[in-house]
Amino acid sequence: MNQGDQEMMELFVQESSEHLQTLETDLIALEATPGEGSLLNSIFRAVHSIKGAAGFFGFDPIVKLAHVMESVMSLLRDGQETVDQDMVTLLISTSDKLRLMLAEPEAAASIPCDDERAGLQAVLDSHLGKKIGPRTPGVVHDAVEPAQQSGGQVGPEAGSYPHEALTGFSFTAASLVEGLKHGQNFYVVRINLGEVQHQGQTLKQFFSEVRSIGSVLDTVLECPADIGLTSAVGVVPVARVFYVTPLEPFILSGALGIEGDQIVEIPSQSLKDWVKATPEGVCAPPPLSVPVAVGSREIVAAAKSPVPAAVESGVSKPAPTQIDPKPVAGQRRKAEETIRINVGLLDTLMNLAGEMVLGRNKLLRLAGGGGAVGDQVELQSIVQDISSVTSSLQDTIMRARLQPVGGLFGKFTRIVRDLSHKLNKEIHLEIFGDDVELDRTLLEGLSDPLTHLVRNSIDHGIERAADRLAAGKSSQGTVRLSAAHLAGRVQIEVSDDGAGMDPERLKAKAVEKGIISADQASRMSDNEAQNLIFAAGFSTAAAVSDISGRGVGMDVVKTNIEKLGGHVELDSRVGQGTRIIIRLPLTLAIIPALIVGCRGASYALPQINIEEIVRPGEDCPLKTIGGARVLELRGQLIPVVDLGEVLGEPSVPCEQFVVLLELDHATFGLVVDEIRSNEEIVVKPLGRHLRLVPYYSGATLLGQGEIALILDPTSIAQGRISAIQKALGTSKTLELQTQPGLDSSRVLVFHAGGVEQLAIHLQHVLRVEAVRAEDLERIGGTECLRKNHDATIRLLSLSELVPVTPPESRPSEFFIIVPRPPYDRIGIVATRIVDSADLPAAQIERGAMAAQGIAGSAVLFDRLTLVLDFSGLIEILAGGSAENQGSLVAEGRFLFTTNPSHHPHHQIKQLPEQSAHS
Amino acid sequence: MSTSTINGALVLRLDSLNKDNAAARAAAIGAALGQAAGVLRIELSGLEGPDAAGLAVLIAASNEARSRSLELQLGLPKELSELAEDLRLGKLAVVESLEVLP
Amino acid sequence: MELTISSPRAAVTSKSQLLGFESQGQRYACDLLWVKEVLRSPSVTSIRLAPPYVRGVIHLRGQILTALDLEIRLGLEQKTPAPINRCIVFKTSTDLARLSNAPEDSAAAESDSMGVLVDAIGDILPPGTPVLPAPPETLSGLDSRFIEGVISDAGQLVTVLRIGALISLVEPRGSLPA
Repeated sequence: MNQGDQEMMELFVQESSEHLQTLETDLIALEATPGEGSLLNSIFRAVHSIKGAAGFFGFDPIVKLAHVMESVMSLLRDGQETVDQDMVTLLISTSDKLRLMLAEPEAAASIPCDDERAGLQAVLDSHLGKKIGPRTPGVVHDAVEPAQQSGGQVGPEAGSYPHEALTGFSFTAASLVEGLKHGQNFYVVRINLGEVQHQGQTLKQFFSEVRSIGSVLDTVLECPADIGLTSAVGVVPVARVFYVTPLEPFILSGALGIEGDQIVEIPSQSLKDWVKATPEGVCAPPPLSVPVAVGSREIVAAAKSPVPAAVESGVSKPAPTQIDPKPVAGQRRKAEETIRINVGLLDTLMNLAGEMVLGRNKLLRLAGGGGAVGDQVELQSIVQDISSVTSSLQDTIMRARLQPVGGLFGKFTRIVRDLSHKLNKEIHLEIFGDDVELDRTLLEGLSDPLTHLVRNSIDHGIERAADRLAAGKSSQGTVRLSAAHLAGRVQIEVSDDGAGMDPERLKAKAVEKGIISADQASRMSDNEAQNLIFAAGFSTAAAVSDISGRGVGMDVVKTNIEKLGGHVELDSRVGQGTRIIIRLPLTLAIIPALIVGCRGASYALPQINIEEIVRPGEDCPLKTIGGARVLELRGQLIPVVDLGEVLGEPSVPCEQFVVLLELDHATFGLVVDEIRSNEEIVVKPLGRHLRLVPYYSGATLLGQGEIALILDPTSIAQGRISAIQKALGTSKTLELQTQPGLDSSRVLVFHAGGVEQLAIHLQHVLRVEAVRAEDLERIGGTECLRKNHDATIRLLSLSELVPVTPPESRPSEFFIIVPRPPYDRIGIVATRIVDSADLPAAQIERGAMAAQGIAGSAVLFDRLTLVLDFSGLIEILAGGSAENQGSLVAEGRFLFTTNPSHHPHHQIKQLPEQSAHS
Repeated sequence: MSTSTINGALVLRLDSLNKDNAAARAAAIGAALGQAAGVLRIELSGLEGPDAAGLAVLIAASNEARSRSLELQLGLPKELSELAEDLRLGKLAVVESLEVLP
Repeated sequence: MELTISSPRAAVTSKSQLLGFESQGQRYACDLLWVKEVLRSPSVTSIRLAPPYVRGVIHLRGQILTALDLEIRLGLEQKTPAPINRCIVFKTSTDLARLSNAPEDSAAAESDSMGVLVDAIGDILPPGTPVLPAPPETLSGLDSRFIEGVISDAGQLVTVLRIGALISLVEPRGSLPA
């Protein structure tokens, strides 16, 4: 098999997989809406395409199976069979077999599919038995019914012809394959050759026209049988032509100037059946008499005749219309290793590459110029050009890697269907946002975790119908899969309206399994308890089912998602259901990171994990309690790990910073020597010898070609945090708050310059930063803080949004409160940070201070405090409704989009609009 | 129109075969069939090829040849090879293309 | 080190060209097919906690290359780390896939770039040089798993390395439970 064939093969496998995907999704949908014509059509088309392509490559087992399935689909489509549960199950099972076959097309014969074929054939047979009435076009069995419209003679062997009108023609099954594959029409055309001449055409002209719109499969010249040389004069022969063309009958009639009644259409289904039944089949009229010297004739004919030898000799091998299907053994087809790319994107890439070349040429010219005056200026402009082209290139290539998440979601229709049948639960799957695009690496990595989550929802989440009805819910449970863009991230959610998770049961289980102590359990909040399901070795299924409950579920999910640079969050309410939220970066290859220094070397920490950077001092001292190092911050003790010690260099320098890193349900501080910069880093894999070191997840190149290793906070925390927590747990003098990130009742109390004391829920806060007034830049009426060339934080005065008194004057040093992504490009101005405090929702008095953006008031630290409603604030910012939040980013009204490289689609559009607004 | 014998085959050269000369050609072919021993080769050099009437003559010749157990060969200009294929003249005779004659 | 190389049964002859190089006063050679390029005085960033035979990483045109210390990898005692002079960069699986006749142990290559640090690059030795079995480890002190054999060139002994094994994840000898 040559290179071209190999590529065709790969394309075939890939396309067929896509058809199969459609097939499966549609089949499941069909079960819900059995009569849906568009589904039946779509399924029919998908099977048909698979069959056609497989036929092209000569994968007979696939063709045969697809063929019976197609025939059954044709019955269903024409309403001659009804779709029921058994039928769908049979069709799905057939599509499974097709999938197996397509995975190894050459070995398709080894896949047992007798049951499916027998089942489908039974449907066909029963139908055949039922139907004795008039012939229905397009149905498989035309061939067996006597055709009435034939104008041809009935030969002695008429029964072996696929159609009565074909009697007398010679052709092979192989010669029909091409036309059948392309869905062309087959005709027998009677041409009165004398009339052709009356219309002023020579036979040569006429047949060259015939040839231009189709192909002649065979021709029979008819004259009176007893024609002799003496009686031949004045006789006008008729040519019967077996013809294949894409044209419809009436167009053909017009094109050739032949009366419609001289054209007989041969139903292609009957030809197909004949070809399937006798793939090596040959049709030929009985020989009239034995020609002389057959041997010599054939040799002459083969050497010289323009007529194909096959036709010449009447019987022969099939014409070579098939591509040699023999592949190189053992080669694996990797459809997933190819990517389809939008032509527009490819054009953009071409253009950018062109600009790149242009830039290089300019540089070359400059380099050859010999350093004239003014070169410096020109160099600057070239560098600017090249850098802009480079970033566009980067964006475009990133976009090329993005693929819709729908392909991944699609496979869950099947999983949900199978499982709900198996468990005898009624479950409806809702899919939202299947057009959201994700980097293909992420998509691949998401597949297993999502499968786990969906299975869990079905197995553990959704109750049995009776239980649901008893709980006052509808008997049908809903599992919802959704994807959405949230600025630079993608949020994927698996939710169900099932029983939810009972925190007390989870705690009891965890204690029983020895994951936590009874003491710890008593101190856990509900949310913390629910997060226990992420602990290794935790499973609550009463009996281990074959679906889930092996105890390796959720911790694997969490690890896998974290490997992809994402987070998992969980929100479960007893009796109402469970939501699992996965947040992922848009792409893996480029991530925002904080570059820190430790013992002279640079390391990169993914921003996604960073909560806050703290400089230990009087307010927040580093302490050693019970042998464990902790940071006391706003009344909490946070476990601390020294990066230098982790990396085996224990010497302690004088100045230190603590980077607070948030993992899924633990926050810890990482002690580093220096904070260097915030950068967008390109992740490079490390060589295999270095992958042995757990703390590095990759490497990156910094500005001057310096290499920085990317740290993996999860593996750094591994083991250490729990050891510290244990050490802390033994010293009972301190009240512990080891998981501040999850506590939704914690607020940050601050002043914004006015008279009011304000509070914002800590769960919305990413970090608090100290800012000097001289670092601010003004763009029009907006104050901005430029962190570096690509991250800008827009400052926001609360008095502009909610009814609080404006600040009288702003001190030269103040704070900004940076919300969590996706809103981490705004900073709420605070003149003073008071402290953090516990504020249960019940203590917030609503009503008295009602306004959008204000949740209510409460008394904190002996003062009346306005509690901000963060989502309300965002709505105000977005100019009203929540729906505008997304468009706000796109319109560029605010600079609070995340980094442009996360937003390739908006980057270019945004710039002019920003300036117009400023 | 001429006849000659080449390699044991009787060759009948015609420049055309159409309704205007069908009767004469039919007679000539009939005569040639009577003379031929084994193989009769009809070379039709005209680029028009046979017309409908000419085809009838060829069909008759083919039938005649078969009944006499003779092999009929038909030489046609290369330009007509497609027509010969479309009409499946190969069923009537062994079709060969003629080299272009000056 | 004076070894008799007049072994009666001349063993394998090298099928391909060999690139000679020097490190710590010793001469080595490797199959030229493995060699992608040679870097002059690359800047090596050392990596904490890396295996001892990894000297660090090198930035090579946007890729991160792992640089191995030849002596430690071969199991020799190293007194002082040699100054970094040359780095021989080996081909990756992708590079090798383009070769019609890849070196024998090419299966060991992965998509990550690897190199070894050496002092100097020597001559290319033509194919057909007889390769003799390596002296026993007790004599040479070299980890025999990484040695193809020895050849004699201009009266000097040249150790021919098995690059595939050298760059693979084979644990150094010392860490094996003997």
